[in-house]
Amino acid sequence: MQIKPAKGKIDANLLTLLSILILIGLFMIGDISLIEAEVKFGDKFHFLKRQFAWVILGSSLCFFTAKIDYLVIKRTAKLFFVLSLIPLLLLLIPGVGVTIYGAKRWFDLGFMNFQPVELVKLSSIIYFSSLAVSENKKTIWQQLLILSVPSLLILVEPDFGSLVLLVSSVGLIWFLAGKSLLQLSLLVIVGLAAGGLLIFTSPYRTERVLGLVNPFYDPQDKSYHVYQLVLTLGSGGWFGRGMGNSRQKYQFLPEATTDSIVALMAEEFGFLGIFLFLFLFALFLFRCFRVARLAPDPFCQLLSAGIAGLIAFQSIINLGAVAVLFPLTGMPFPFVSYGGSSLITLMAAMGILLNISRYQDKKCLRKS
Amino acid sequence: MKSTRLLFLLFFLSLCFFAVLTRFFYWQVIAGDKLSVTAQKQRFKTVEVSAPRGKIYAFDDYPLVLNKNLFFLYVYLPNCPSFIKELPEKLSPIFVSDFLSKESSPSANLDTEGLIKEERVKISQNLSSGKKWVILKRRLSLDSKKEIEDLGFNCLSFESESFRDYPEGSMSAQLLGFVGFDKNGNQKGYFGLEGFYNQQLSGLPGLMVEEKTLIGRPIFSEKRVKESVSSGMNLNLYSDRVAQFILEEELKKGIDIYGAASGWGVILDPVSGGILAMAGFPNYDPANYTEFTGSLFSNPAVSEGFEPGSIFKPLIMTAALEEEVLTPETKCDRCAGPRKIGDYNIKTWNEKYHPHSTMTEVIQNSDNVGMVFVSEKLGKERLLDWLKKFGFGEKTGIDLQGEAALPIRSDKDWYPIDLATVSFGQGILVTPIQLTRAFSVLANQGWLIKPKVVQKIWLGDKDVFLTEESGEKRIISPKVSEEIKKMLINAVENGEAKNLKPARLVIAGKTGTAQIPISGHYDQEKTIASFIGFTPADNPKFVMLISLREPSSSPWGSETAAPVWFNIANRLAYYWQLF
Repeated sequence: MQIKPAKGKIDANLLTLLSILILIGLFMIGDISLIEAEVKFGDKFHFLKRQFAWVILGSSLCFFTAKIDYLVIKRTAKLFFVLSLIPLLLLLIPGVGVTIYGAKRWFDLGFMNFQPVELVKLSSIIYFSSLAVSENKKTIWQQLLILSVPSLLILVEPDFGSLVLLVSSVGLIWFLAGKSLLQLSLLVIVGLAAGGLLIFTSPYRTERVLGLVNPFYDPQDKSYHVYQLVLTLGSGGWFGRGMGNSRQKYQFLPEATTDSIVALMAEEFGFLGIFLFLFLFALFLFRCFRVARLAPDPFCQLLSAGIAGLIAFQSIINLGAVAVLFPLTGMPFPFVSYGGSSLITLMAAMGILLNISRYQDKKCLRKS
Repeated sequence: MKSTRLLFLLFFLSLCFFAVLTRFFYWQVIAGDKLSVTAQKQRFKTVEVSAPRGKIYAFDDYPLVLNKNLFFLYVYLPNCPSFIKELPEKLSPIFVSDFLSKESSPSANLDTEGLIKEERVKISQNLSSGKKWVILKRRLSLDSKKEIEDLGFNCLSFESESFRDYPEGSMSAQLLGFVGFDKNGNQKGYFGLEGFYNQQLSGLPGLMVEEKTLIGRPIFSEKRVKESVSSGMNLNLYSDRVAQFILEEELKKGIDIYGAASGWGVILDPVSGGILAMAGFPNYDPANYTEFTGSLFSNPAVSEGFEPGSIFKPLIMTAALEEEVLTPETKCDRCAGPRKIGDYNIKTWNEKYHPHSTMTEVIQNSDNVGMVFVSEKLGKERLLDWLKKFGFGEKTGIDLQGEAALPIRSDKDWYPIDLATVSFGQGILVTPIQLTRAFSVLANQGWLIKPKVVQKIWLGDKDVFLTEESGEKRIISPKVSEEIKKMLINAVENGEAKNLKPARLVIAGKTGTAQIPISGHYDQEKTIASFIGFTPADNPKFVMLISLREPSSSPWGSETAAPVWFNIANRLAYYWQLF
C-alpha cells in the first residue's frame, strides 16, 4: 500500500495559462474561419461554435480526470492501454473509418470526427510510465516490442506525425526513467534511420521534404502549402497586419484553422506577436514540467513529464512545419488549433497533470 | 526521475523553440518585405472595367437602345460539398421562370414541368463534369439573382455582364444592328448603327486593381482605379419612333395581305436628309440575335440591290427636262406601237399604246415606249451623266454599316438596248436608299442631299459631334422641279392607283413593277412592286419608298405597294398634321 502525500491545491498558475491558451485558440479560430465557414457551410460561426463545444466537452473531461486518484490511473494503466488500441485496430477493417487525403485516421461519431490515435498517445504515456516504475521491470527491448504494436498500427493509417510524437514521448519517459544512455542513443540512431527510410520510400513525404528545402520549387502544386506558409509569415513582418487583417486567410493558405493557425497569427501580429505567444507557451510548458519535478512519486513524475513532453513535442512539430523547418505532417498546435480529438484528449491529460499538481512535494523544491 | 536529465530535456526544448523563433525571424523580418510583395501579387488582380456602351435615342430623346446588367451564375465546387445534391432541385425552377419571363410571347401550353426536369438534368451534368469551376447559367435577371441568393447557398457566385436592352423589342432592328462578341470575347457592334458607330459607342475600358480571394471574390469593395473608364458616346437619331412604328406595322401588314416574300421601306426627310424611319422584313430580335439566321441581319434598305422598274422613270424624265430636250407638253411621236431595238421588242406593260401622248401622260400611263423616246432625246452621254448626278454608282455614305456598293457599267459597255431599258428602270441595280435619295432631289427643289441616321453624338452634357453639312449641290432648277412635281401629282391623281389615294393628301409619286432578273432572264411571275413619292407635294415632309418582293396576290405595284404607301402616308399625315 502506497502512502499518498497530503492533498493540496491545484496549480492555479498552470490552470490560468491553460485557459489563456484555449482562449487564444478560440479567438484565432473566430478571427480566421469566418470566411471559410460562410462559404463552405453557410454559417460564419460554424468552426467557432464547434470548437467552443469541444472546449466545453474537454473542460468537463479535464474536470473529471482531475478528480481521479492517480493510483487508480496507475492500476488501470495496462487495461486502458489495451482498450485504447481497439479503435485503432478497428480502422484496419475495410469500410470502417473516414479517409481524408488518403489517410484513414478518423471515426465519424456523428457530431465529430474522432481520431483514436490521440487516445493511444495518452494511454501509452500512462502505461509506459507505469512500466518504468513497476516491480517486475521489463527490459527496454521488451518495452520496445510493446511500443511497436501501436506504432505499426499508426504507420498503416498512415500518420507519420503521430508516430514520431508517440515514439518521442515514450522515449522521453525512458530517458527520464534513467535507461542506459548507450541503449537510448542506439535507439535514436535506429529511429532516425527508420524515419529517413519512411520518408524516402513514400513519394508524398519526399515531396514535402523537397518543399522544405525550397518552398518555391513548385508553388502551384507540390510545394503550394509550404509556399503559402512562407508568404503568410512574410506578410506579417515585425508588427503584423493587425488583428483580423490577415489576407492569406482568404483561402490562400490551406489548413488555416488547423495546422497553419500559428502562421496566420504571425501574419496578423507579426514577429513580435509570435515572440510573445511562444514566450507564453514556453511559460506554460515550464509550469507543466514543474509539476513533474515536484510530483510526489516516480510514476507521477514520469507521467506528468510524459504529458508535458507530448504537448511540447506536438507544438514543436507544428511550429517546425509552420516555420518550414520540418516537413508538414498534419499536426495541430496544442489547445489553439481547431479540432476536437486533439483538444479533448489533451485537456483530459491536463486534468491528470492538474490533479498531480495537488500533491506537490514542497521539500523537493527546497532540495534543489 | 533523473533531475539532470530533466534539465537536459528542458535545455533541448528551449533550443528547439529558439530554432523555431530564429526561423520565424528569418521569414518575417529578413525575408518579409520580399515575401509580402509576392503575397500581394497573388491577391491584387488588375481587372478591365468595360466602359458602358453608348445609348441610342430617337430624335425626341425616346430611348431605342439602353443597357442592362444580367448575371452569370457560377460555383466553385470545392466550397460547396454540403450543398451539391440540393442545387439542381432548387435552381431549376428559377432558371425556367427566368427563361419564361424573357420570352416575348410565351406559348400558353408550355410544359413547365418538362422544362424544369430538363434544366435539373443539365445542372446535374454540369456539376459532375469534373471541373472545379462550373458556370451554371448565363444571362440571369436581377430578380432571379436575388431569388437564388435567398436560397442561402453561399458557394454560389455571380458576375454581372452588360447587355443591350431594347425597350421597343425588335423595332428598328436592322437599322440599329446588334452587339455581339468579337473573337477575343469582347463586345462589338455589328450591322447598322452598332456596327457603323462601334468605336464611338464602345468608349474605352478602364483598369482597376482589386484585392481578391483565391477563388476570385473581392475581399473589400474598395478598388483602386488605375485607368479610368471613358464611357461610350450616345446617339440621337433623326428617327421618329411613331413613324417607325407605323412603317413597320403597315409594311408587315402589306407583306401578309399581298403574300410577299419580303419588303422594305424608307422614309426620308428630303431637306435634312435625316432617316425618319427605315424597316425591312423579315427581321430579327437584336436581343436574341443568335437565334436568327445571319441573312436577316443586313438591312435591305441599304444593302439590297434591285432593279427599280417604273419608279425610275421620273428621274430620267427630270434629266430630260433639265437638259431642255423636251417639256412636259412635248408629244411622243414614236409611241403608236412596240419599239424594236436590235433583237428586242419593247412593249408597254398592258400592251396598250398611246400615240402622241404628252410627257405628262407618259409618266401617268407609265409608258415604256414613251420612256424610250425620252431616253433617245437625252442621248447616251447625257443619260449616263445624269445617272451619276443622281448618285447612282456610288454609295450614298449613309452612316450605317453594310451599305452595298453598286457600280454602274463603264460608259463603253452601254448598248442601245441598255439605254432604252434603263429609262424604265430595268437593267440597272440600285439600293433603296440610293433611289430614295435621288427622289428627294425632286422633292426639295433640286438638292442632292446625303442621307443620315444620326443627328447628334453626345456624352454627358456636351455634344461631341454634330453631323456636319456635307457639300450638297443643287442639280436641278426650281422650274424643272415644279414641272416634274406636277407630272407626279398627275400620275397619282390619274394613274393606276388613283382610287386608293387618300383624298385630302396631295401626293407626288410613281408606282413601279420591276421584273426580277433570274439567271440572265426576267422571270415573268416574280416582281418587285414599289411605290415612291412624297407629300405634301408643295412642301414635302417626307419622301417614302415602299417595296414588296414577289407579292403573290397581284404582281403590280399599283395594287400592292401603292396601297401600303397610302396607308402609311395617311397615318403619318394625321401624326404630323399635314392636312
